Amino acid sequence: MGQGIFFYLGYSFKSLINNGQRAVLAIFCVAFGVMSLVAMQNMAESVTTVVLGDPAFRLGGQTELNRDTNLSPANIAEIARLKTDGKITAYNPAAEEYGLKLKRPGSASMAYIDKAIGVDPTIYPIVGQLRLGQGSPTSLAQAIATPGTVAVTRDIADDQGLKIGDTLVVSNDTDIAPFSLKVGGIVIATPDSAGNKIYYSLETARQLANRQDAVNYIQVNWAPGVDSAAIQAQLQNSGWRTYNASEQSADAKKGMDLFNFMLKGAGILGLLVGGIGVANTMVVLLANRQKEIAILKTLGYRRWHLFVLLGLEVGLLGLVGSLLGVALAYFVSGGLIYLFSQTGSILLETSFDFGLGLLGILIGIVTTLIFGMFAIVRASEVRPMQLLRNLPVKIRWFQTTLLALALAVPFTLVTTFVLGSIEQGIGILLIALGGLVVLGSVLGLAMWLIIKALPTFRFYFLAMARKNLARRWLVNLFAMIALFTGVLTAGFAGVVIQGAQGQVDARSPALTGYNLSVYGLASQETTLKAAFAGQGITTTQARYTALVKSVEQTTPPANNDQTFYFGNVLNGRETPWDVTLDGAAWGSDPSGVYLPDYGRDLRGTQLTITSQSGATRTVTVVGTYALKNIGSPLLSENSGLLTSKDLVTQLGGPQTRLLVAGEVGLDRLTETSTKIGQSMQDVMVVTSLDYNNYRTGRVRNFFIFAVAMAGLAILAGLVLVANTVGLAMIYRQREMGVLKAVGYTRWHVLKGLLLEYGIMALVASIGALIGVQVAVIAFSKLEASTDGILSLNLPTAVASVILALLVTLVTATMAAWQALQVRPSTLLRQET
Amino acid sequence: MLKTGSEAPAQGILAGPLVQAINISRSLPLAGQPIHILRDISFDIEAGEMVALVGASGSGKSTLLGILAGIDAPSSGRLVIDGEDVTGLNETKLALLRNRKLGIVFQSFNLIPTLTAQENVEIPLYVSPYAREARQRAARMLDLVGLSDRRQHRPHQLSGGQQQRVAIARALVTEPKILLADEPTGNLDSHTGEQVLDLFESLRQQLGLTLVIATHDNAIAGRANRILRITDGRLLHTSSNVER
Ligand SMILES: Nc1ncnc2c1ncn2[C@@H]1O[C@H](COP(=O)(O)OP(=O)(O)O)[C@@H](O)[C@H]1O
Ligand SMILES: [Mg+2]
Repeated sequence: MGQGIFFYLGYSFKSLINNGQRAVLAIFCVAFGVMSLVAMQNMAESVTTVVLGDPAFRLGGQTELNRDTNLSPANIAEIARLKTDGKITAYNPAAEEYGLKLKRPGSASMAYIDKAIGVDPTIYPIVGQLRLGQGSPTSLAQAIATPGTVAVTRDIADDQGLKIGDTLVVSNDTDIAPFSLKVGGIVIATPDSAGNKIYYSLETARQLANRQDAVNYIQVNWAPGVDSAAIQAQLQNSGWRTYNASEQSADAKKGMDLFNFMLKGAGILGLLVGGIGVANTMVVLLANRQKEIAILKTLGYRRWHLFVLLGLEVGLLGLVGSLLGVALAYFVSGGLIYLFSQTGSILLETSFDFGLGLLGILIGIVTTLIFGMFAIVRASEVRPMQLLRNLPVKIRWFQTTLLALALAVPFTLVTTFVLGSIEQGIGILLIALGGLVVLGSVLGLAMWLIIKALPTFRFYFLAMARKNLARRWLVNLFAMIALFTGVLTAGFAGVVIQGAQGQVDARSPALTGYNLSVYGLASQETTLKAAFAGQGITTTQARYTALVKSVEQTTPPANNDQTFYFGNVLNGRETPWDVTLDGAAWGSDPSGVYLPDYGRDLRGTQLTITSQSGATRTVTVVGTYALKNIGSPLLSENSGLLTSKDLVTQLGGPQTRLLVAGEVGLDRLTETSTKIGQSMQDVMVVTSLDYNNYRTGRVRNFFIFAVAMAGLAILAGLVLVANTVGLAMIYRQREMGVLKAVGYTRWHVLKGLLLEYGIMALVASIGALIGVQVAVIAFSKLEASTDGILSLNLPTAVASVILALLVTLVTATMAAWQALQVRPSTLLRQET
Repeated sequence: MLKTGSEAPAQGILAGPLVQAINISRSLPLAGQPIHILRDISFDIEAGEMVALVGASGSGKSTLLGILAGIDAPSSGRLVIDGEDVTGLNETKLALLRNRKLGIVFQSFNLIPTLTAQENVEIPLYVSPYAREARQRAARMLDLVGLSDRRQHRPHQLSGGQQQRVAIARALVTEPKILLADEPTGNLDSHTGEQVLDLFESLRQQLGLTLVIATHDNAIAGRANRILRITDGRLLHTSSNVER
């Protein structure tokens, strides 16, 4: 061939250009397939390396050590000795606080923190790495060594608009009163890639918790060669609890594997959908060029010449489509990775693997060739005698089946390569092929029945539609499979979106009732209440809390030898506004306390309470209490003893925590909370909006993620439907010209066409919805967590069918329109 | 005039005819009873002859021409071309035969619309031994049919007569021995048709071609050396014209 290669290339290129619309449609199909594959694969890669890193990275060390209580200096010294003895290579004492909320002073927006941890910045982290960015100092030590400074992860900084030097306030509902911290660094990478964390020094942790023994666990790395199990056994004997990183990974890995398989599976299915689009396009494209192929054959071209010629054309198409697909994947995967990182506050860099892009182009070309080859081989069957007379193309079923099977082999290589396992590679292909065969048979049968059922006389147009459907049944079957796939993907995506929306709605509690609460200290009560009154809030209530160091039962209960856990807080009220009492009336005994209602009657028992601030009081149990459901999710449950405000403030001293709750009209909620936040910088203002955001935040992010993925699927479905119908129209332009030449009006022709495509779309979309229902059932059986969430309801189903019909008919009209403008006279010159 | 094909010499240089059709029949196995399009047709064509295949529309001319051109196969009988029995050849061998020894021209030109005239003529060369000289050969051939100034034009930019000239150039560019034409002037007005026939005549003389033209037009038949008349798939008689 040598010299001829340029001719071949030129020929292919020209054909491609000349195929115009059709080539563009095919290119879109390839681009879509490659895009979904590369985007999903890229996402799977980023997510796996990040989420499935070394389990020690997630734990923060090879082993975590803790005790029943916070760790004393002696405890820490014990572990330090292990290091001097060479048993461990590193240890990291950590002071973690739980349930912390964070906000900027003066801002109404509050965020819940996943992890707030005090560390020795010169040591931390002992596994993995922590990187600072966005104007931060180079090391964690420089960022947080000064007491009162904090490093926050990038996601928090972004959400709250925090910069280096900004101030933020943290607190929780129980033991941490609002505490100001100054941002000293922004963390862009954490050892476990999880975000929504803040880091500060151990000294800051002590100030925050207002206690010296703030350290509550130590992470250690074992020296190589030591018998860590034996050392752990010894530690357990002296009161330590141990937790090894290796214990925790199996489950996570299993979940990750499934997630990965689903992502990659989605990618491959995308490729398959694109492939079907290409196959469909190529069948039509080459059917249109039978004459050209017959000419080549007459001139002495053999089958392999044609394979090369048309293969080059398809390969070129694959190349262009793949390039486009990779470019799209670059943006789409960036967006998807971002959305994904939002679903679990993961510090993911939106990276793109360019090697993967290259691979995607290769796979795209190969897949295009594989799917195009089917059409090419069939087209090469054209007999040159066709030039002398119109002949139907003989379909050799045996050969065609063999061919399909032969083409399955290279595609299996692609899927195996992508999924990384031959079983999964073959499995997904078998599912797809089996699906195609079943689908083809079912749709074919349905079509056959309809053709039989349509009247052969009287309704001229119906009869004509019937004939056309029967005449082009193979092309039509292909079109119906494509339509079916389109509606199925779109329908299932719709179901997923609906399910996710339902989840978001279910997690959005009421916004009314006590929808504004402010956390502060009892000493701020007057100012706070004045601020509430200043905002015209009339319904105001308060809770008071003192931190308890110890509760001793001075008179043991008569008939009970079990010890009772009295909790580490003492709750106070002015009036019992949010509780129901059992026992003595409220206020009847100034030093009376009520126990949480755990079904134990300890009435009459004397308790000696010592608070964190050092005050001591002896009190008497006078009854039990239970929290009323006052319909505000803002006011969390609290355990511990309940007593009068006076007693609590006496015991808690200046450190007594205060919560003031009020009810504000929804339209003024944000404004009011902002004003209160601005007027009092050192309190924590929380609204039910914040709470809802927190509750629904991740579900909503997941929802957006699901919508984004489903949106891609719907797009694919629409592209496929439009592609199919558009192609069919182009295919029939000549026929339309002929009909017009014999006196048909545009409307006559269109009516006939719409009838045909209406019937096909109806059959395919009803079939597809049955498919969606099957998928929903299969999913709920496979993945119990989706049971009841995913469901196809009748209105959605009807809407889907109507939508599919509309898209089909509109596309058909649009595609036919151009053809319908064709003047019949062009038939005289144009050769197709 | 019927010769036993099995004894035909392998080399066309020897006295044997260039084309030998021996008891050729073509039937189509339609549902029920098969229809017979060609029945028991035998004839010879000598090198350098111009033969007209004449008959009414539907008589079987195209079918016979298709068989001669190696794009259709007879149901029974044998066909010997240039001393080679081509009856049972496989697709590959037939393709070779069409490329090297036969050229065909159609009523509706059948040019590839995306390619220029030059490129259309080049096509057959790329699967022939002349691939290296495709450009020059195609250009020369277009010169020969009088279209040297139209090389870069695409089919839709050419008149019917010009398109047919391109088709003829394409058919002849691999230097076949036999040129087959199916109603080559059927899509042309009579004047242009005349010009195309003149071209055939001059090419036959310059290149020593053998010409087989199917036509229902007796005027065209009048220019042939010999007429093969077909009616209802049967060869009626052959008549020789006086050499002009
Ligand atoms: N595929 C076919 N099916 C049925 N009849 C055919 C087919 N091909 C050709 N014929 C019939 O064979 C006869 C000869 O056709 P053809 O060779 O095209 O005739 P001509 O070229 O002389 O007009 C016609 O009567 C035609 O109807
Ligand atoms: Mg004919």
